[in-house]
Amino acid sequence: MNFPYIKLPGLTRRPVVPVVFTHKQTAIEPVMCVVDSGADMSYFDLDLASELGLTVKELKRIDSWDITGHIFWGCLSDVNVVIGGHEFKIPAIFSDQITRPFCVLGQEGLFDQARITFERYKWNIDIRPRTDLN
Amino acid sequence: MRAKPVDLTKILKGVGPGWAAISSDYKKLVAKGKDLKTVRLKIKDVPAGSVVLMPVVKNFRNVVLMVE
Repeated sequence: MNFPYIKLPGLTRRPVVPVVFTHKQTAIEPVMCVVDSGADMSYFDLDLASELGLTVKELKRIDSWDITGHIFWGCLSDVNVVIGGHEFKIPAIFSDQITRPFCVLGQEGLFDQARITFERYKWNIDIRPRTDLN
Repeated sequence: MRAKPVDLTKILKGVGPGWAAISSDYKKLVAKGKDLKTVRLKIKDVPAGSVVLMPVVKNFRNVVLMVE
C-alpha cells in the first residue's frame, strides 16, 4: 500500500504511516510511526505498552544507544502491527527514555516480512507483505 | 499510484509536547493531551477509524537509533 510522506512542523517530509497495534483482544487507534531504515529496532512510547495491556514489569529490559552514544533502556516485547491492512508480528522496544517526536518502525522484523520501497523523489512509501513467504 | 501529499504543519503548530489525535483525513486536530491515555479518553466517543494518534513535540528533529 502506498502512503504519502508527511510534512511536520520544522522538518522536511517524512515517511510516517498509520499503524494499528494489537495485543490479545486489545487494539488501539492507528498511531503514526516513522519508517526508519536506519533504526535496528522499532521503538515506541512506554505509554503504548500500557494502553495495549502489556505488563511492563514482566517484559525483558534491554539497553539501546542513540547516535550520540547515549544509553537508554526499554522493555522488549513482540507486538502485532497492522499496516495498510496487513498484519506483521515484530519485536519492539517500549521506552519512556526517548526524547523523540516519533514512534519508530525499525528494521528487525518488519523489513524481513515486508517489501518496503522508499520513493522520496515522489514523496511516497510503499509497504506490502513479501509475496515469496508462505 | 502516488499517494496524495499530506502537510500537518498548520494543525500541529504549537501542539505538544504530548500526544495528538488527528482526523484520519489529516485535516483537523481532534484532541491533544500530555499523554496517550489522556488523548484516548478524549476521543472515546469518536467513531472507530476516524482518527490517528501521534506523539508530538514542539520541534521535530531527526532521529537515528541503534541497539546491541
